[in-house]
Amino acid sequence: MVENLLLGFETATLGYNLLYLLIGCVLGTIVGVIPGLGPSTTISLLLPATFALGPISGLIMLAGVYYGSQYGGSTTAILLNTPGESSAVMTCIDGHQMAKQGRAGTAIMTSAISSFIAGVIMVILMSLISPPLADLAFKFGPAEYTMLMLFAFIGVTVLTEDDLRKGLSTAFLGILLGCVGIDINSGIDRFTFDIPDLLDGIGFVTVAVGVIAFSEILKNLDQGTEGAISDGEVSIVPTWAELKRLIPAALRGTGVGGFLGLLPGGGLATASYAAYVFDKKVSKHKDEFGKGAIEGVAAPEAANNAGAQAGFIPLMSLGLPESMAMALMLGAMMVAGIVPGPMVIENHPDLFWGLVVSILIGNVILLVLNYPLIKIWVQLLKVPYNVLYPLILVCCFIGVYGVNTNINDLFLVAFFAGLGYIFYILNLQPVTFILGFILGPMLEDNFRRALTISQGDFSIFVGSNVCLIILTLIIVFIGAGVYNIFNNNTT
Amino acid sequence: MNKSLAVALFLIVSGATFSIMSLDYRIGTPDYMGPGFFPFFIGLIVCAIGSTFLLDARRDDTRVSANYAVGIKLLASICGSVIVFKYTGMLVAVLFLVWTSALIHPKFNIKQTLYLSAAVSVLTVAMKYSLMETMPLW
Repeated sequence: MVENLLLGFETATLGYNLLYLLIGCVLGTIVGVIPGLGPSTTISLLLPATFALGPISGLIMLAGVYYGSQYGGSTTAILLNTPGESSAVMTCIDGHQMAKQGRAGTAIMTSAISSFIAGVIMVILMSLISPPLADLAFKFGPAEYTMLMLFAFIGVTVLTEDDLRKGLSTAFLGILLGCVGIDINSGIDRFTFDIPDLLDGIGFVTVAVGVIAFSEILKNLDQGTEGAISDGEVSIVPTWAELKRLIPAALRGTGVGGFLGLLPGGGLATASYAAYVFDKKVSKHKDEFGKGAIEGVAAPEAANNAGAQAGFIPLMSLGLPESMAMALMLGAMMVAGIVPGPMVIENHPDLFWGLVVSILIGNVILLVLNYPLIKIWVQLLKVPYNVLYPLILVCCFIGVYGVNTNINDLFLVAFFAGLGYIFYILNLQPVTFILGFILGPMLEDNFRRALTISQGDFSIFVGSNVCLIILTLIIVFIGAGVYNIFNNNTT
Repeated sequence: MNKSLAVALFLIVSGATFSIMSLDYRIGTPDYMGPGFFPFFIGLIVCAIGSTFLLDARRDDTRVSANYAVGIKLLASICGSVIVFKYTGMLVAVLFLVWTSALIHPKFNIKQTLYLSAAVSVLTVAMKYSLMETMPLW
């Protein structure tokens, strides 16, 4: 293993590879910050350039964009309550609360440190246990995925809402809106009202910007917010007491994210949701969650970075991409003549180990890069709100248009802003709605596949040990949720 | 209207709408589901959850209240900007968005809005020539 890591260091520290890694990290951070410009868009734009760079340099740069965007996505989530990436939705909850309390710098630094911890641990894990971990992905079939997603809905609902019914109903509404577009099983378009732009479904950025960012502005205007979001001194470096809470949460998040990142289609959003749920359950500071708990930022941020890196294991060893961005990287490898599969590590050790070590170096670059940037980002919070919100509106307006360069997306974002406003008026939780929207299509796909395999027999959902473990957790969470409802009604 | 009743109506209407629309597609059976199966039953679940709020509505005394004028004005500002964008391009649309949205705030300040207009104009032009070449500027 030492020889392999040395080979990786030799490859990753070549001058031109370091340069492309730096370019990738900077671009990734920028695209993560801007809503609408996800890593997939940037990777697809850079794809032709990688053909000229060669597979190793090209893949190192694209990987830098990929995990750099995980760092950047959290910045707007914390400062403006606008998730640039689906995996940053959970960071909004406690991160934005921390920003309102004058701890925006600490929140962003927490995100950077947690991602760094996750990154370093994942590199070590990748070099130690890549092949056996890749086999674990095969234990998850459609039934296990279905149960996992149900657990994500119920877990997040119980832990973010006092009333289980409200969280579940908005999650199901999200699932219903996720059904808009062509049904992949039958090829029939659903709920599109013959509008061609809806055939591909509704974009995540459109929904997230409308329901979370725009409705946050509506809420603040409704409440008559006038001054800056936070105009006091802004702390950046976490205190020792905060670090003592941050590090264990980041380690727990790494465990959850690393495991879920291995599952093809598991997705970073699931990883960050599950990490948040898990940490709220085990944390000594449960009461602070939702009000600016440092663990509420550390756990999901570590999870999405760990998930992003764990995703390279099935990508490289099995050729299974877990996201659009990874599928594009797979394309880059194949164009360069490298067939992904178990033989990649054997046949192209410089590529695999070079990438592994470049991830480690990339995490150091991102941590160093983020420290001076935080001081600039947090100045945004000192801008008076009457100046800040039109600026946020414009950034989101251009960002949403930029995703598909489609004007109708802008009408849709206004619709979702209205929906978010209704949620606010009715005290419904937008986070569970977004979760339902993101995971809905995957839930439906796996649910249908599981029942097709079992010929309509629902016992497939309790037919394996993995399913039974998840089912037990679901029952425990539902029990806790029902207890909450009765407890609230009696008090 | 009390809040529980409003939540109940919102959920029942939303769920029922999706379930009824799902009937336009084949529902099928669990082992051979049609495209309508999943949304039909999810819609029913939303309706069922909404119905439980009807029980709460009998003893809920919190009223639904919000500054609706602000909400309507901001949504109108966004929709208006999209229409302006369609006919004049992004630059005029973002300026329209800045001014119409800034006017909603009780502390509207012409000088600040002018500076902001200059800043967003530069931002829009920079976006056009760096990342979004196909975006019509005017």
